[in-house]
Amino acid sequence: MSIALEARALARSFGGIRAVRGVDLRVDEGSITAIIGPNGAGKTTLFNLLTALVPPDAGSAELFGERIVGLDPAAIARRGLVRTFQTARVLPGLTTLENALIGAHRRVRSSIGAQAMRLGGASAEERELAREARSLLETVGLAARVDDAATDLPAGSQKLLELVRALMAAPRVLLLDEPAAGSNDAEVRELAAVLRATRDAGITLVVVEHNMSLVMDLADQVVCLDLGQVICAGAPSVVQADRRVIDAYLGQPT
Amino acid sequence: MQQAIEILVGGLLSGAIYALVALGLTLVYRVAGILNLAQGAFVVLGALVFYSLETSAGWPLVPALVAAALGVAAVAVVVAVVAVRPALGRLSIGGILILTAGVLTFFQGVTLVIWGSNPYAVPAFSGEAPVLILGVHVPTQGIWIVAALALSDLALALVLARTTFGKALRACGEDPVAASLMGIDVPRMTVLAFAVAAALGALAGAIVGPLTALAFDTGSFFTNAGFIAVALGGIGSFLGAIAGGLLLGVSEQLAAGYVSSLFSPTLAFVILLAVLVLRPDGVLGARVRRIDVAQAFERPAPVLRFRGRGGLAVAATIVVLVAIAPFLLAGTGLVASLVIAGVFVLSLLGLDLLMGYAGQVSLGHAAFMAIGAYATALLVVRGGVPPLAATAIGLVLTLVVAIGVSGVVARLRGLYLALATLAFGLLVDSLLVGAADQTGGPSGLTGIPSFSLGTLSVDGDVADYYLVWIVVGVAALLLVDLARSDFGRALQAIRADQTAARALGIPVARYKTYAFVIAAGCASIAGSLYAFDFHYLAPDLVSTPRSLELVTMLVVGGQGTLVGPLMGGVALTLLPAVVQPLAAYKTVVEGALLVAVLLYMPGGLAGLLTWRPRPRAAAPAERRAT
Repeated sequence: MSIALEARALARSFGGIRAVRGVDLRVDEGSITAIIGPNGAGKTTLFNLLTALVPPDAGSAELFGERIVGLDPAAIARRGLVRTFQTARVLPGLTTLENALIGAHRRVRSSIGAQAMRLGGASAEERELAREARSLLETVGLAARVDDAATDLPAGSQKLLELVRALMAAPRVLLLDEPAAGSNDAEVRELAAVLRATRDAGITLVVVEHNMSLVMDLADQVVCLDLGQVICAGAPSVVQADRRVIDAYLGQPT
Repeated sequence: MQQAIEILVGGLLSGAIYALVALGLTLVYRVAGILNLAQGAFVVLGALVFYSLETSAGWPLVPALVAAALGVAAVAVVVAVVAVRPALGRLSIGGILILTAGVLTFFQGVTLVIWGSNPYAVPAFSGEAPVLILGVHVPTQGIWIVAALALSDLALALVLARTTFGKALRACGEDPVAASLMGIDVPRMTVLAFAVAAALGALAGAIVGPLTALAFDTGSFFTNAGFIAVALGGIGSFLGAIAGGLLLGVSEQLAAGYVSSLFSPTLAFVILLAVLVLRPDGVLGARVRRIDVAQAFERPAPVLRFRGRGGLAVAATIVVLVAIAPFLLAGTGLVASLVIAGVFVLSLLGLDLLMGYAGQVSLGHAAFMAIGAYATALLVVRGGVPPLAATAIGLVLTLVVAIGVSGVVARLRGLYLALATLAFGLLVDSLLVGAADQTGGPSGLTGIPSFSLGTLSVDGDVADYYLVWIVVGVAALLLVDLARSDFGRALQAIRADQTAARALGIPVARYKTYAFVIAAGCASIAGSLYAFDFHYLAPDLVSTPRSLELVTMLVVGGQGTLVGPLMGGVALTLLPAVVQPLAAYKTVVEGALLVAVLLYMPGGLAGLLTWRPRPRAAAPAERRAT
């Protein structure tokens, strides 16, 4: 099994705050890795460093063996490392369907000229992508809202839409920032099913999540961050029992 | 030496005026984060009110000065309350910039209606004979100017440093949100800043009057000069505004004295573009509240989409109407207006892709029409090149320039991008006027033949009409397809959220360049057609006021729809032609329309055709929990 994503000694400070201080991360291809930790542990910053939204002060990162530190965010996304955001960033001004379709940007093969003139299979490509987007939207229960303004969707639906958008990119590695935040139990079960199906389709997942039952249920590997450092990494049962994780994050079982 | 010193003195004097204007701009920027393009209108208004009071009504000098300053300040309060305050927090920075351009247009129109189009010469305050200071001739008016600048600086510095008002004002500049949390009424401070800035501007206008000819359209000149001064000194810095104004005045006079007065504006704009691109914080490097995000206050733009067959129905109606219009309107003379409308619509289609879809404000779009038009016309008239080939060469030239400009400008965002396009437009304007030997200068280029292909010549209004509208139709088809495919979505993603767009793999800078270049291409072809239709070209036809008019047409028609250009272009071109009495008020109406539509009809005319899907209450059945 090859390594999908590997970070070495990634570090970043904001002013005097060392948000991420030397994080190592190794994610196997086709696995689900959960990143847990208290608020301010550096989880989202780690995602921002991996996707170049924030440049690291030090350290390196590789996607399937290719160095990605130093590339711009768009170039990283085009190589197949795609993310969602903690607060869903659906695009205002676009409909639900268009929001899903824009995710497929990195897969579009038709040139701009071909798109303007509907030549060389541009129409067929567009139809195929739209069909795929509609089917994914249906899976997450958004079929009835495809033509509505995406910003009119309730917050939970916006998170699902963002997930669909990321899946439309056919990512090789997908980073999800708190996909279950704000969802009820039924929705979390639905989400878990979608994530499992995603993994089974060969997409490597890295998930920042606070919902521990979801994490323990899904993850092949759990990484716990605290104060910008990895304090424990391993199988869910190992991490769950770890003294430092309990002190820093989980608290004493009651 | 003597001559050099006198040039220098002249430069410092005009520089002092620019500095006064720039101080006003800076004050408003510091408080509200707005670059008020209407500032120049207050200058001219002040000068003309002063002229009417002093010369026509026979008021004494000082009361007339004070009354002009207070009167213009009162006008500015009305403008700020009616137009600017409602826009705060509702429009993007770019939107507010366009809004102030609308206010400028409005006041140029008002001035035209009240004072007419002739320039005014205001008599000097203390006689026309210059005084000799240290062997240098200084116009007595110069002493007034220097005194006015010094007094205003001193007063402003005292107010800002010593009074609570000054502190509150500076707080708004540092952080408007925190300031409002501390109980400072930011909108009210904005109104106050407008008033003070307008009074400064009016004072500048009244005092500079005797040294320059003032007319209804001088307002944009002062806005440009003040804005260059501000940019040179660093946007938002008071000291920078003064330094920038003086620097601009001196370099202009030096260029006029030693090179050519025709090219002196060109130099100013070259300096400006260089500063905007290389040192966006100004030559002094003052760093104040760098606003570079166009969507700082942006509400999510409404989704304007035709549902189902709606788009098809609208398209079919449009095609039929366009095809039969010459028959319906035969004999009314409106067909000629519709040809011009078609030229603008073509130009607007590109602008809509750039502004409506990609969200990049361009205030220099007409410059690309100018490049296409002049290149084509000169090739045909001077070089005997066949029209189609000349149009193609003009297009290629425009694309090359656009790629160059966007390469420099694409790194800028929001306000800076809009300002750089404005500067570029002004640069092209000044080149057209300056290179009089080639372009015919201000008096224009005549004798441009009709468009022809081989032996087939496109003569007469009806033939021109079909030529122009067929080109519009082809461009519209291509752009509609583009807008509805991945490219169009990517542009909208950039407008909506650049970070999210990047994270989705969209190369933001490259796509902005594409949009910019496509827009320039449309404008170039439109310019060429304009030349063939009009048989005449002058800088006025394709200069910065035209750029602002194009923006007005687009906003009134509705952005981001590609139907808006059609509606806005046709409506605003035909309006003065159909309602003749309105022609005299054309500028007033355009300015007022732009402001009103921005504030109260964000979807424009096209917004009336489409509708925003109502946010439906999420029915329980809709989200089936499994």
